[in-house]
Amino acid sequence: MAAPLPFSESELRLLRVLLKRKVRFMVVGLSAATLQGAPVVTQDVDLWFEHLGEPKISRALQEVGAAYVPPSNFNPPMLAGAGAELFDVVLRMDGLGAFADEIKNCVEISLGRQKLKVLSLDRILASKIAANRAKDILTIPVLRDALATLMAVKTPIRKRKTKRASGRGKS
Amino acid sequence: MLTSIGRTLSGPLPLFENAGDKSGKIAYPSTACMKQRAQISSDAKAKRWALRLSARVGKVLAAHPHADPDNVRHTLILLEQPPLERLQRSLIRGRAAAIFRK
Repeated sequence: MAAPLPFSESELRLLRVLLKRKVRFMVVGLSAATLQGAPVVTQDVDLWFEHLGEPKISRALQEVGAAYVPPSNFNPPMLAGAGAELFDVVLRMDGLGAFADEIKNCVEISLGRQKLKVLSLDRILASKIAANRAKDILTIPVLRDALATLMAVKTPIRKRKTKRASGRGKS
Repeated sequence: MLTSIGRTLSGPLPLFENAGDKSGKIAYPSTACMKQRAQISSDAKAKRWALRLSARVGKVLAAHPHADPDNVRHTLILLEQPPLERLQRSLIRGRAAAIFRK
């Protein structure tokens, strides 16, 4: 099967292995905002893991030939290796609660048969307001307007139908 | 003759490829006629979509008067795309902007 649009085969494989091994993580930051319709641009996909040190993460990364590189001098924590370059690791989210609390309000995006958890737009906005960095300040009005639009139209996130899902209910 | 789609034509488009043929063959709509109809139809469709979009922007702004109309419009356009396509667009533009800055 061809990779869904933004991901290469190896990036998709990494996400699928993490989901298959039931690693608790979610997409956060502007990539999460854009998945929900906010008109913002980003260069990477931020992943927030509940327990970064848990063995099943390193096993999942090993399975796809990638590895977790802890933060050092000027380097943030990152994933390195095949298909991992697109993803950034987030250790903490400013202005938000614990991972276990935030995941309750996340939205789900279909990734084939699996579901990718994505931090909800209102919580992304809260984290940007709390972080208050120059680059965050620029995005706050856009995120606020996108959230207002979402609330006004109450449009559910469109999910791509899988063959299995579209076949259901047919006699 | 200037048509509604801005094309200059020497005369009316033939409606059927073999119009006037007395051989008894079935007459098919001419290619030029079908192309023109398709263009008019897609043109009208695009205009209807723009009107609908404008109305939706107006509704959102009525509820949120301080929102920026451009942000609202772009959000509404993106909501018509599947989520992964939205991310795709965002990544392409984000990387292009980063390359341009360098």
